[in-house]
Amino acid sequence: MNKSISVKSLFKSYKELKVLENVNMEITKGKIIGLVGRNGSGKSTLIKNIMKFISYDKGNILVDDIDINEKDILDIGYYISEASFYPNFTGYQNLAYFLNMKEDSLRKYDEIYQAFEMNEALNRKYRTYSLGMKQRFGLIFLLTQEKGYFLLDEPLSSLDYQGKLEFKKLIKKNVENKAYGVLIVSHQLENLEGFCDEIWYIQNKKIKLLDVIKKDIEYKLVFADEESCTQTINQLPYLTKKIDNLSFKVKIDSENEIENIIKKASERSLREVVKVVNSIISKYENAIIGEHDEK
Amino acid sequence: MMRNEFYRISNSHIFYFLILLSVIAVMLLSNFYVNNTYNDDSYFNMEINEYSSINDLNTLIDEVEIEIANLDVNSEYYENDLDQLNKEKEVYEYLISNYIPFVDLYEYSAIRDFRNDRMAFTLWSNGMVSFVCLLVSFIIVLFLVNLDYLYKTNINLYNTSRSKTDILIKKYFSYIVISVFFYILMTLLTKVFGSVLSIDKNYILLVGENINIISINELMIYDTISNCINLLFFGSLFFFVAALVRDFFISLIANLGLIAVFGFFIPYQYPDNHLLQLMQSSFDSYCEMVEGTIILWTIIIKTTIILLIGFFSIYSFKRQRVKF
Repeated sequence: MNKSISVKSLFKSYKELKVLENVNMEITKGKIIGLVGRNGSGKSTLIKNIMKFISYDKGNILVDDIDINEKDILDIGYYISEASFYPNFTGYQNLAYFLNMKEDSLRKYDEIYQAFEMNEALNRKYRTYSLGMKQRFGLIFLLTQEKGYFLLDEPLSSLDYQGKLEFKKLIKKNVENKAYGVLIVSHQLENLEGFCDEIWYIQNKKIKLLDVIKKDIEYKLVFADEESCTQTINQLPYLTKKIDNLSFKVKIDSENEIENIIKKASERSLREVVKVVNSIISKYENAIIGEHDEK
Repeated sequence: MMRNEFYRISNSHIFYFLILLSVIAVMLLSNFYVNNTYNDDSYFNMEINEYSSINDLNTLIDEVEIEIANLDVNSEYYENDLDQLNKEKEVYEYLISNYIPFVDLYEYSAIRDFRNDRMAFTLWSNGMVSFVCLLVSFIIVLFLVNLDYLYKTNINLYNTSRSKTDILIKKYFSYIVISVFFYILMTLLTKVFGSVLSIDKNYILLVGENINIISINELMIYDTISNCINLLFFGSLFFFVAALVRDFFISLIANLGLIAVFGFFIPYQYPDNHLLQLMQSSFDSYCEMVEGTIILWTIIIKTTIILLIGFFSIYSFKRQRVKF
């Protein structure tokens, strides 16, 4: 059985307005997939289609090889900002009600509450929460559910920097431990950078792969003379790419390896070591500009 | 899950507001009844003559037979008069085999609202409590089923690991328990007001297709249970309509429409129609001498309506998408 959510040749329109055209994508367990696009480009529509909140015109959506129209899909958790909780219940009461659990049993998720710094707030009524706290609470609710897949629509929009970091850490950890499949939708690419395994974007009703994020780490080494540069390239057992006569880039698998490289390069006239950041944002900008040019 | 529903409803101001409002309404109406009672000695519509022994009853039968023999067969009222006298004779015959002293017997159809005794008050208050509880049911249904669609809590609620059907059925049973709780609470409250009135007689004579005598206590118990079942029928109708339409405001309008049709339109437009039997409890119909077959058909129709709309509503609820 194929453990994934497969979207195949999906078409969706609202009356005359076409939103998605021939969309194909796969959310595999153990991967975090990012989806970006402009406001109104159809990102949320795609999630709502997968969740069966709205119907689609044509195509198929399969969850673990079963068509979503054939049976209820209980294995997908999702976060959307429209969803709410009971204002007169405390956080704990809301969790107990929605998860159908006793409040005492909820203590097993303490780690999650702590990560979002919500331990104290869960004793307060939901209506007293700020926007950011409501968002954090929504994510706590999501992470306490035993699901195989998570679809997250703008989950980071109201979180502070710390909250974003904790959320990403928790998701990463859960994906590694429990092999969740995650689709995270955002209109802010910087929220997804360095967090997702793949990033897709929606442009002109179509979905396209922007990048498969490679785990390689790249450093740029600059030397005082050409000879030192060339000798170091020849000596290193790593993938290298010469930039000019005095510098080259090297790809490594882990940060620890750079120390050995620096040690060897220092024996020659090493001047500078710079970590190379391949900005996904520039790729996205190029992709979009490219499409505009094509048009 | 039912525990959670009770917890949710008991945490809501609406619940306490409803209790308070219902208590005030029932108290005011009961008090109004008690302060406006009157004495009425005419217990018997059929003008059954007073008797003090079985011998008296035999004499009364003889008198009726003479009256029957003297009826003018050419009179346009002959058939009616004959039926009336035959029924009267049947009553005397029944009373001979089930002797109850005349002073201890009511006739059901002679009971009037605001009569100065506890039984008349109980029958009146059971109807009044049913109506109050019906309005409460209507609001509880909105709270349990439709409020989620207003608050958008439905999006989270119906997408957890439990099936939608399971959640809806648990809500339905919670609703049944809450409605019965309200009914019992209001009924007990009316008992307090009823206690200031005395019970004049102990038995009641029901004259319909058959003749029957039951004790006042039995009558009160049957009437209470029967009204409660009738309340659950209408409450269930509200519930399944609410689950079918889901939207808060559409459900509000649809169920208000049901109340208008069943509570006002049919009773006032078709007061003599059998449709009216759909409104009242089976026991009320029985006491009001409605034919047994009609009562049976009413029960079958009501049960069929609830089963059909119940299954359709649950099926449709399961199939429908989460509403935004």
